[in-house]
Amino acid sequence: MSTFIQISFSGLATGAIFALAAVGFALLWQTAGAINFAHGEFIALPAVIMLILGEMQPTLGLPDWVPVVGGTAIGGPLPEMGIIVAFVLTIPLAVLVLGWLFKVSLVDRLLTPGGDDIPLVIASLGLALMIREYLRVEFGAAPKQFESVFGNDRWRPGGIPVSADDVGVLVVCVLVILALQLFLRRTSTGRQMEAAAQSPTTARVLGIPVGRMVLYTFAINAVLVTVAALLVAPTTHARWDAGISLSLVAFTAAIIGGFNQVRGALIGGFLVGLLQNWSGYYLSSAYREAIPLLLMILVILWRPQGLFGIAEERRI
Amino acid sequence: MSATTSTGERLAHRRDAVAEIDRGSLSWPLAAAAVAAVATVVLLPVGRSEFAGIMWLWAAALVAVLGLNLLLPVESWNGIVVKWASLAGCVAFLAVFPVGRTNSTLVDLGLFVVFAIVCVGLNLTHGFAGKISLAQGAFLGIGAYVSVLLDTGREVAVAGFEGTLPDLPFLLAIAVAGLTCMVLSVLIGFPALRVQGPWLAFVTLAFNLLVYLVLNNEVGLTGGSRGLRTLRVDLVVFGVDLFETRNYYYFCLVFLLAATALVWWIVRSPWGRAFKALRDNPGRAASLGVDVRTYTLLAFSIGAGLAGVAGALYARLIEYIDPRGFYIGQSFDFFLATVVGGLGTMVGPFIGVSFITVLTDRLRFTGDYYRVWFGLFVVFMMLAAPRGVAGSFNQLRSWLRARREAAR
Amino acid sequence: MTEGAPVVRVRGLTKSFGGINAVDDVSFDVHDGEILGIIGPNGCGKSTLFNCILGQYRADRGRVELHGRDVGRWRPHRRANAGLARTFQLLQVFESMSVRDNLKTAAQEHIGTIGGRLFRRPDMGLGDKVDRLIERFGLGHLAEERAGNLSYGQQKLLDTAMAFVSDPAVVFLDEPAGGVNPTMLGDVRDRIRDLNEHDGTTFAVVEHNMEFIFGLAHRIVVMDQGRVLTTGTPDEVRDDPRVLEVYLGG
Repeated sequence: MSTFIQISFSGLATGAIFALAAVGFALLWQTAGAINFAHGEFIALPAVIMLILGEMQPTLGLPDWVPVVGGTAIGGPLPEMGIIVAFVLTIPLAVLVLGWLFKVSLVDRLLTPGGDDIPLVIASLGLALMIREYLRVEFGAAPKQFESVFGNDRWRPGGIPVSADDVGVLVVCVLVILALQLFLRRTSTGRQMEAAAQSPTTARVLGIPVGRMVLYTFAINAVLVTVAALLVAPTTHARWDAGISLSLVAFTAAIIGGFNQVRGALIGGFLVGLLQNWSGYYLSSAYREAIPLLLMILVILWRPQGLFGIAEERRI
Repeated sequence: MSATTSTGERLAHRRDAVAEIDRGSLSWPLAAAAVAAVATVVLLPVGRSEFAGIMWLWAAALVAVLGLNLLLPVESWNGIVVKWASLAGCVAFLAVFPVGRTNSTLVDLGLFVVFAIVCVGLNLTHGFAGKISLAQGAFLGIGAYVSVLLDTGREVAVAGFEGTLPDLPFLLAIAVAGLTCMVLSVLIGFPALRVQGPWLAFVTLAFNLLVYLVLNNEVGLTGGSRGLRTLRVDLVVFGVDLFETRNYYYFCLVFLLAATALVWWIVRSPWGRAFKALRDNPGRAASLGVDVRTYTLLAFSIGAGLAGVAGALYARLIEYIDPRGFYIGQSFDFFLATVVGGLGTMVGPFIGVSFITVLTDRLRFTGDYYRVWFGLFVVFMMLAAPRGVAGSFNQLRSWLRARREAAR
Repeated sequence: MTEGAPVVRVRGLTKSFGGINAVDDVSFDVHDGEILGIIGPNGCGKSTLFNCILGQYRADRGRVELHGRDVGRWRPHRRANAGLARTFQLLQVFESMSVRDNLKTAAQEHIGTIGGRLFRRPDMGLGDKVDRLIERFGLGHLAEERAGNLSYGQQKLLDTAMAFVSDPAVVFLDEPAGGVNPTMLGDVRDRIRDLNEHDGTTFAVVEHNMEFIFGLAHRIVVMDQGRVLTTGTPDEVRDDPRVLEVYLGG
């Protein structure tokens, strides 16, 4: 029994990160009809950037005559502090590049109402390739890892080994998702965003600036992927090809749970984490990823709105 | 119009005769110039590894060939001569360029040939029939492993079953590899009957992953992540020893030419129209008698079968296979190559495959970042030329023609 | 117009969506050589009826017979190959192919088997037939033009021609007057009449435009709320007070 609790708990912890990834992916799909095959790379890239800013004390490469405050290095004396500061610095960068720039240069140009989804899929695959290969060439040699911001403590409540990282990840994810839900439900901007997602034409008639609401969605996604990056790097390494598997769990979780509801993608993420751990332990460690994949295929074929999504006539 | 005229007669006056095709007359000087240009493109690089000085001549000849193809009407005699001369030139180039090259270059060229077979197949499934597939990497792998397992008399142990596999002649092993993939393709063919577009992309992606997991984990069958050595020893086909890389390259080239001819035949036949109808409007197609289900399964099985054959050839080309070579990254490569080359064109797959094989270390300005540039190129193509290189060429040709006719 | 034998018989056709009977116990015949009009106010079930007869939907109950055979369980392509052709309300042509290829595609699947078709000549001997049809529909100068480049009206002509090219037993037209420039309506009506009188093609036409259908059809079926209200000649229907009520009433 205690084993079951243990693997369930760690499944929830990994599932929490999957949920973050899935929610961001689902938000873009639901509100903008944008299926972003580079979603995993959108997580890997901030992870690497935070690693560099936080721990590797990079130089800006500025010419000598430019005065730089505090020497030419950025970074703090303690890894955790470095990472936190790096995280805070990376957020606006992510919002600008992965949010606004991505939307304006690619999504807006390739997604026409009533048109084909596939050009954006292809372009995002190209984008994913660019990011992935760039990370491989620049940083590929040895996968880097930074330590968990939650520290390395481990406890054994009731005889079950639990790490501070697991707890921290769970708590942060739940808080972030709660904050997102509160924002969407309780603030007027959030409600406008939901309205824009449900029915853009009706929203426009009501005077809601749909284009700007979609932009906010991209910004929120950028924040979500950065948080996911912060949480995932300690366990998954900041690898150049981490993006592919992260994309995969995002798709799988979002589709299984239901991509047209934030709640659906959230549950999907936790479900995939649990399924992986359960099947890994009770069935076969080698095929732990197979069960969620098979479930995704079944969902696509027979219940495309997901297990917890709503069946609706969407143009997507 | 008088009240006594019948409807039929009134309509008859407005009949609109279908025009006869005007092929014009053949210009011998033009034809000769075209052949000369093609010959220059084909023969100039033979045996050379550096051709700095005459690069300009070669480029000019290439531009001349492309220009003639662009400007001459497709149905005119001139256009037909130029087109067939160009195609013959492509085949000749593939046959003649390898002369005097090192073995490692020959393997690179062989990789181009083998991957071209995969993309020719994918072009049929996606380009002509409109069914997206991110699973060609999986079929490449299945073809590779099946052919190797059946060709070496290995001992295997899987799911409690132990035994020795038969040792088939190489050609038979290739055929079985292809057929196995054709049969297994129903696993994605049937889902393709229910879903389209991105959903089908996800299903084929999941299929690729599941295949990868099996290849990686069934160590008793496939050797798992350690991979398999697949040297070209004792491989004699019709008296030719395929141990020589040069011989093996031409062996693969024969398969590429056959695969291309097969797809060309299919597209030209009534099947080609049925596939295009399936791509453009499956609902309307069904209402006109097109058996959507059968044609969908056919589109997948042919594409997968070709990838399976390519896999069998691939295994012996690089003489070592492991599951990582058949992961979804490989499927992405095939997919992007086919799209960038030009979906629904015969030439597209060849152009696209050159981006993921032979060009990778030839463009000096990119250095190690070649694939970053390729990714950027993909993005650029989607924004500026979504029909791909060959598709955009055709578009340009139509546009130039329309302008010429408007000017008259 | 002499009445021919029934080619298509619809008996007790019923189709419901989530508790609402879109088509409710509908029965009628389509006689050989006639133009049958099917009219009714919005939401009366005309399009659903078509979809059930032609296979896009599976009816819950009832029979659809073609030449006496029950085709109710057949998939759309099989019904098409048996002789039931249709157009859709929403224009549907194969945009990437030429006008000629569109028509060849529509004609070819009725001949031989899939396997056999791979080995026949590319145009399967359909060249002349297709060209004559192109000329009849006034598209001769566009024979090699890409269908996607045609104007709406030209695509509509092509769409109709595609339904007709395989010599079907009955052609089901779904709102042929829809979206057509009023000045062209006469041409559309003339063309249908010409095909009917010269070639003996049987038509069943769902239509909104009363003037259009009254000037064309030999018999009319009036539907309301999924049921058949009445059947008769245009004059009989026009004089039936219930029909007026259905259109003007609530």
